[in-house]
Amino acid sequence: MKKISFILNGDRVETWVKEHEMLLEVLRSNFNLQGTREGCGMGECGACTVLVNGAGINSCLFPALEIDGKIVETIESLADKGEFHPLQQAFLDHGASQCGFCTPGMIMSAKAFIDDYPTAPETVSEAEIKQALAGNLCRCTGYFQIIAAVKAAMKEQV
Amino acid sequence: MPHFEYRRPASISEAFNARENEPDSRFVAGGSDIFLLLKKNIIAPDCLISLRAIEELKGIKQIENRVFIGSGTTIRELEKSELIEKRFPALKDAAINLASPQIRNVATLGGNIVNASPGADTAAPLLIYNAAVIIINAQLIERVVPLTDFFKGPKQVHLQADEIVKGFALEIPPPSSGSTYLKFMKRKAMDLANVGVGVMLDLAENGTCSDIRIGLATVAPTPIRALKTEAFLKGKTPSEATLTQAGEIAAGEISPIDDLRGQAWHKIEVIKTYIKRACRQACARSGK
Repeated sequence: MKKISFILNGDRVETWVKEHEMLLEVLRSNFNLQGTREGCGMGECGACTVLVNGAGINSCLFPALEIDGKIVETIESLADKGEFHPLQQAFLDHGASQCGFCTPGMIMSAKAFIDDYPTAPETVSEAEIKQALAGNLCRCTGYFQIIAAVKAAMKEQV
Repeated sequence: MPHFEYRRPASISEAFNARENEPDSRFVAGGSDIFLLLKKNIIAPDCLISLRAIEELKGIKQIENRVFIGSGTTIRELEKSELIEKRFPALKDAAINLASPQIRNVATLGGNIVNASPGADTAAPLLIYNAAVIIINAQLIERVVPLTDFFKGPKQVHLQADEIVKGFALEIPPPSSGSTYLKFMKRKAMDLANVGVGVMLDLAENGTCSDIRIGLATVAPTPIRALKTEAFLKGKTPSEATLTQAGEIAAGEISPIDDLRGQAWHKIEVIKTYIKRACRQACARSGK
């Protein structure tokens, strides 16, 4: 076991991790943050997407030891004092979540994309959103609603 | 996930020290291939030595007419680099279509090449920019080999156990040239190449092809240069008829196999069209 220290959803935290453990297991077990899901466990489905130093990654393939000294954001960091983040609100308004399993990963990928968007967010194209969400699968086939939700959130300025 | 120990050396020499102390170990960069092999029980090393914290392996810098790209540079960094966009547009084409944003944020150029998939997306672009592989050994002595000589077979490269790929040196193509990488996929995103074609092309004042390099992925045991097709096109005007002939020649110098992503006969047909398309697009980008 090794001790790591990092910023998790705005708070400095410390925890012990096994050398072979992936970030996903540490978030769910050590911190009880169960919004981050394991889908395929192979970097294909994106249900485990979280942000590390602002970049979306598959936490199922990210060694926990690599987190030491970094900044991690999960879906739990988005709502502020019970108020939904504009992306969460847009997903709700557009019916962009059916079974909900993929939703946290979708929203975190969308957040990474929006935070990094270089120009006026209201000019975003559907093609750009599709590219940004290429690593997130939804088996309820809600892609139309998901893309509409991200677009709406960007138009209203997140 | 099977158990393993995990080391995070901060320098190349520390990485080799770790390697010496751990006989059953493997170097790992972004891990987007290695962790899958571990999870599928295809490999089971006692120890992984992460190259992620080694600054010496990172970055993109121009020195005269060459650009050095550290092996630890992520695909995302390639995608966002202005230098890559301006000088090596085919490499940018490959980067933006490689897997997903999440994978591109961790996967590295070195990993993509050392993994040596016949369909490695960055391989064809590196081939058309005459890339050389800079390799460093445990004595910290460097050797340089052309990328064409680095690939040995599917998933195999000429790299010893006590060696690390430090980076790649790419030749900046003439400013008048154009280059592109086209990837044929079943889906529009998050897919491996069924066929990949990279072309760097320069036109003379009279409109003939003064320089051309073609790199192909997924149509042979390793990524390859289409040397016969290049020789045929050199000195010719890239007309519709000439490009059709070039496609036929390329189809004759590849050896695709039937696999999960497509059948050999289909890849041959796709190559004929994609050689044409890639040459046309390279011409268009050349601005002549």
